[in-house]
Amino acid sequence: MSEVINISLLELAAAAGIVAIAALISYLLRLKLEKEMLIATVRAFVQLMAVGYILDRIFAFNKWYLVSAWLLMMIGIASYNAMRRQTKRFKGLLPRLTLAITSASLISIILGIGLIIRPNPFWSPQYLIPIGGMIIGNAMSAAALAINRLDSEMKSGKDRIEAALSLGASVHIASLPAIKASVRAGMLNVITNTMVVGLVHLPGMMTGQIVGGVVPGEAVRYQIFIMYMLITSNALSSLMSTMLIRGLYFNNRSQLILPE
Amino acid sequence: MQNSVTFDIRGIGLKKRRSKDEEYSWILRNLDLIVHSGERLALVGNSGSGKTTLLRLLASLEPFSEGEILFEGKHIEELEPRNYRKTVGFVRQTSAMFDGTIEDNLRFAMEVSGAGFEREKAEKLLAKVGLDSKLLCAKSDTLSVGQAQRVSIARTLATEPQVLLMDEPTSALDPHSANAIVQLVENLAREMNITAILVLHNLELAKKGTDRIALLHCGKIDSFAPTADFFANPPTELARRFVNGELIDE
Repeated sequence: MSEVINISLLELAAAAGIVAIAALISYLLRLKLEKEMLIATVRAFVQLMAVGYILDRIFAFNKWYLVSAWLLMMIGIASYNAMRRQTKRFKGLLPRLTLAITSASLISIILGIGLIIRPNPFWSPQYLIPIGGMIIGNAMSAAALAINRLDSEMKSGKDRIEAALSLGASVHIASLPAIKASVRAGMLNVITNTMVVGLVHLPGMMTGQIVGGVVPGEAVRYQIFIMYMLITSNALSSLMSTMLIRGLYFNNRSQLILPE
Repeated sequence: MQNSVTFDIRGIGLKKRRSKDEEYSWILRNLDLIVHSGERLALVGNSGSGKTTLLRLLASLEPFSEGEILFEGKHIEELEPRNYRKTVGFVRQTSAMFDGTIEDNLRFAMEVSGAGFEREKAEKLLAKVGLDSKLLCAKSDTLSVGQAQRVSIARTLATEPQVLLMDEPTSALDPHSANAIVQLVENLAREMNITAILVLHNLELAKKGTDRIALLHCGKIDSFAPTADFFANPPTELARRFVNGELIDE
């Protein structure tokens, strides 16, 4: 493998210039997306340069508490983002989403990195930050999809849930079809992506490693590992978020109360 | 056969709003009603008078804002919800079938009630609501509205309730089937001393198949009388207009 070719700031500016093609398309078709494109281009530059700078420092200091703080920050942003993606936001949603995303991510990270990769030390930022980031991001998408679905299932299935409650069913039994549909909705994306991985596009981790100089045969192993971790975190996040947030739809008399 | 008090409803009130942007308004207010064991009570009134809401409160499907509901002398809020709902069965206006077959629907009810599924009992339940046992294998989404309504009643009876709350049980049925359901309720009341509270639009059915009638208007009881008296001698002006089929929306 040849050495990695570094991109200079000037070359990056040239790359931004290439975005002008997209802006031109928007202008010619009157899509009115030029302003958004400009903002997106600048934001991507600023955000990633800042992240690169901070990660450089975290990698250089190589301390467990800095790595943990970075992971916690990612979890916080992911939870907030999952809440923002809900069409209906109500009281109690954010803490439950945070708990679900945190638990699902930590279990997957501890199992995956602790048992399979086994870096020394365990918190090695080289592994924990990129792999943890992917797992957290995935747990976020799964929770957001599952919870959105839960809300629509609770509304559309109100009659059936109440019919089950009327027969003396517990809240768990009465809402089980809604929980199943929601967990399924949360998981479907990652399963579909895993089915076609490598065939439709080369996934991010693998691409990054190949560009970074790792031979493709080795890079795919990491990608396979990460896909398996994503399925796990996805399932855990979908399940935990729906189970925790279901409680907001029922009062202590087991009555279905659609939250405002 | 009217003896002990099943429901003692005292000054019940419920205020609700449809969305965050709307003001709360009273759906039921200061409503008092006593229902005796084994009686068949019809709740009548125009749309929006609070009949279905009252039934939902009795089924413990919604919390109320004020007042108290006593079931056999105990506050329903103090009773364990699952056991209470097995005792007080609720048949919805929309039948809300569960996925799967009719057998699955009856199995669900029997298992929830703790008895476990018995095919023979399921067949008897279907026969009781006038359906053939062959229907056990039918998918719930292939039933006609009337059939689904009957299965819904059979499903509720599977938990062996003492009280049946029925929201428009005959609305989806042809006159013959509607009569059969009212007859069924009469038989249940007579043979098993089941108390039945029915929301009915059809006054003829109320006349034929119930012991007493409560007319609701704007969330309150306007009048309450034995069925024969209610029709022969309507207790209020509103009741008179209602019996005569005049609109009472004001």
